[in-house]
Amino acid sequence: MRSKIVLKSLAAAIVMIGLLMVSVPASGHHGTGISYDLTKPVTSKGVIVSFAFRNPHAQLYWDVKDEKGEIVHWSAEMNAPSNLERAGWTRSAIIEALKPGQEVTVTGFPSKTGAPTLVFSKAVTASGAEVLSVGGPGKIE
Amino acid sequence: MRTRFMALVIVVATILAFSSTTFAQRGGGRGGGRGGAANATPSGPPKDPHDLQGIWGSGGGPLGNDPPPFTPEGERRYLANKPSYGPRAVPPALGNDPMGICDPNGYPRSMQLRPFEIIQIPGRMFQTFEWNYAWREIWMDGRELPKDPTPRWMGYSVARWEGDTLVITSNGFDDRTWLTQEGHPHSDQMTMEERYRRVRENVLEMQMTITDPVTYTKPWVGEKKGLQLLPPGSNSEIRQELCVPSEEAMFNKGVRDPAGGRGAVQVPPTTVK
Repeated sequence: MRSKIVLKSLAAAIVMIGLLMVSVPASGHHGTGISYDLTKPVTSKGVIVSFAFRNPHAQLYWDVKDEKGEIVHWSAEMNAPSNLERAGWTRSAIIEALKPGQEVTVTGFPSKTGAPTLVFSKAVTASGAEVLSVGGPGKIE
Repeated sequence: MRTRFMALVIVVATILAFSSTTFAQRGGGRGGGRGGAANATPSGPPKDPHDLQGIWGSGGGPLGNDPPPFTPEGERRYLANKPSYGPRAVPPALGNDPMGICDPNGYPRSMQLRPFEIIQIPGRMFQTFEWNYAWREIWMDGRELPKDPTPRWMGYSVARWEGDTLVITSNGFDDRTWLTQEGHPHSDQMTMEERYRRVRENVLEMQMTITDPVTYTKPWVGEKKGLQLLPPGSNSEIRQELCVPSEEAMFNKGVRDPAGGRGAVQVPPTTVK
């Protein structure tokens, strides 16, 4: 009887330790997350207008033609340049990959307000370049 | 019965051993893309325990746990801060985090996100922080803390060795800085004690205690952290991650403000190198 209680407590402890180990990294600590709906990834197709390899976060800008044929300016919040560098990007390589004038498909999590802004997960350009988030709320495994 | 009990003891011991290794790795790993990759391989004892030099992962910030209860003044200051992290998070566009306008992070917040380096010279040591490319000076020549300090962004710090533990005490902190990403405040009466010990060649144990009777009803004893030495190579260089007001303004107009419902996306005319 006593050993059953011990076993039950042990099982509960194992579950608790497991939950803690999973929950700590998932919580993250990047304030960006609060502006975006992290439950609904979206994909947006358009033409790259501008890219900024700048602090505090790199930014991608592209234009999308809506149903009425009007141009909508979109923007994406990417990783900090220091983190992109740590992941292997150089400034010239990422600027080349995201050169203006190319068609691009961008995936990310949109602003909760409905604004045409997202936290960046991935971009694939017409020339075949692929850029992925290297961390933070936009990263998809 | 006894055998079963022994089996339980072995299982528990195995779980504990496994979980402590994982947490130690996470200490540096929480820096991850932010604080720098952890050097996961455990190393031997330090070659010189009084040599703390190296580039260390942030460990997710020096405190890492919840504070003690606020005083009424502490509560007032906390509620006046509108962070973008934690339970009271608002979009950065609607908050008042000092970092949103490139005000200094001060200390200890400078250690929150990115790696930092310890440099020791005779009579002094320095910490250089990648986040905002800031640095802090710690006197080790036997001087005492100032009795009536003029508040500074990084405070005023002195240190001494207690055996193999370096004990840093500090005062004179400017109360405009936040202690954490979650907007925990402090007053200019705050004092701080940090204890650092190089427990392995690649693990720096640290624990911080904040004492601020204006803001907190008792000392805030932070978690004991196991900071990881970054492995050698270009990824362990301290990068010049300055907060530049003109860059911040461009980001705010292009992304942060529209994402928080303030204004339309403003596009820089050409690619900004």
